[in-house]
Amino acid sequence: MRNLAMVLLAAAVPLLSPGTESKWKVTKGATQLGNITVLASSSASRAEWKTAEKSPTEIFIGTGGKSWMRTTGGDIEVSTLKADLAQRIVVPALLAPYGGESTAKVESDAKGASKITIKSGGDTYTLTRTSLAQSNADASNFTVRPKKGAAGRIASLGDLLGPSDTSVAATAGGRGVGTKGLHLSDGGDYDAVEKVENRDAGWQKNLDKVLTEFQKTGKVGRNRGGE
Amino acid sequence: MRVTNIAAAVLLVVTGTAQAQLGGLLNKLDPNKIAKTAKVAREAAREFTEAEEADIGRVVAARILNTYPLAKDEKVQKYVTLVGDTVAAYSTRPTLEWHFAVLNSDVVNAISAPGGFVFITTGALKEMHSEAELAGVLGHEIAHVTQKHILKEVKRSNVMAAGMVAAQSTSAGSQWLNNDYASKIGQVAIDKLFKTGLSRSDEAEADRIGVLLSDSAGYRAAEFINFLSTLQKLERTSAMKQLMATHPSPESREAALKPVIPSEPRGEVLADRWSEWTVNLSSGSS
Repeated sequence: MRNLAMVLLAAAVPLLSPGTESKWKVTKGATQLGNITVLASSSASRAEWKTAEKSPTEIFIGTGGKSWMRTTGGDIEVSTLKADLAQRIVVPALLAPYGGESTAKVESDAKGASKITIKSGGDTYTLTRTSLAQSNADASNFTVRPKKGAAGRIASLGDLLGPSDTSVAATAGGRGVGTKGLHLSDGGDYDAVEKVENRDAGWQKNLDKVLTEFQKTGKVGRNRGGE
Repeated sequence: MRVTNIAAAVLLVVTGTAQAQLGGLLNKLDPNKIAKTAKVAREAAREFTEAEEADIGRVVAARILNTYPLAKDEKVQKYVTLVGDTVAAYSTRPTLEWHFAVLNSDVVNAISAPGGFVFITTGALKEMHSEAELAGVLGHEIAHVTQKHILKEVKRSNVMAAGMVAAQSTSAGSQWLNNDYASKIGQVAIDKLFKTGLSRSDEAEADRIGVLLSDSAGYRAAEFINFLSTLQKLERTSAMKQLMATHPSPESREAALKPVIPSEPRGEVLADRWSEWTVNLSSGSS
């Protein structure tokens, strides 16, 4: 009983001290996947993932026992990403305990967690802390704004074409990002842009099914089998 | 002694004048203007937000679609969307709202706009022989989007800073894009896409990532080399003029890519499926 209490207590202890900014190198076997900067507060953590110096930053926030990924149109739960995506495997371990429980093996030094090892699907992911500093990150860095409607389906193939509610997705405004229905008189054909967006929204109804079939028969993409 | 006194007097006068001038200058400086200038500088240096990227993408896409109309062949539009979605799922931005569209033009080209718009001409499609070639070309354009190459050019052109000044001087309100500002952004993008091209390193990066994406998606990456070989044969034709002005030569691209292509042939070519979906292209009803 006492041991169980100790385990529960250990699980609730923040991986990283509040008010810190740490940098981590991510490797899968011998291959470096990228670098993650982690901001820690007293109730949440934020991870900023870059695969290369010039590549775009992917932002993840751990709060309330869930890990979230920032996407166009709002934040989605990391657990809804494809299971084999490195982000889904690695990020929750760094955002624990605010982003949920983690079964990763954590090694610590005098400053806190220094190395995290995660085994998944026969692969070993290693996170190695490369720096640790104090940080005064503003609370807004840890705010989660869930994506409306499609939070549970992001990163499934169908959702790559937008939310399932086509009346919402019909225009750029429905994309939840950018200026709603942007139409300017600058020499561009905005009607044609809207036509493309509406067309994709219309196709979206059957696209999951069509895309799955398309990929299965062609043995390409996420549904090729054997992935 | 007398000389020293004169020198000291001259120094006092000079110093006094300099102080007076400096004081005058300082009096003329408006703290509000300094703050505004600093804000403009900050704006010019910062990264675009996703919302701004989406707006810029619409502006650029609208300019592209004003140059080339959409192809009417819905079958080929769907096909390009299916292949594009298949490849984009392996990019670093799988959750972007990708839009793939075919433009009706004999010009051989493929272009992209920020925010996830990818276009390919019927002229380019007619020169392909397999779905894997299409996957390689779309992968190249997807890479331009994920690596934000056009956004980088917009930023470099200082349009952002100019736009901030315009917005402040006109108190344009919450909408950050006005016609003039959008027109400038559109022009920067159109110049790069149709006239001068992106940097050689950006094109090389897009080639490299494009091949990796098509390979990851299960296509035979070497098919992209086949497409470059076709382009090489067409180099002197009028349909290739735009592509040749905006991209490195097909030979140099081919040479740079060879080390990246998997040495063992792997992945799907899907030439038959290509023929089935693009049957209307060859009949000229696009």
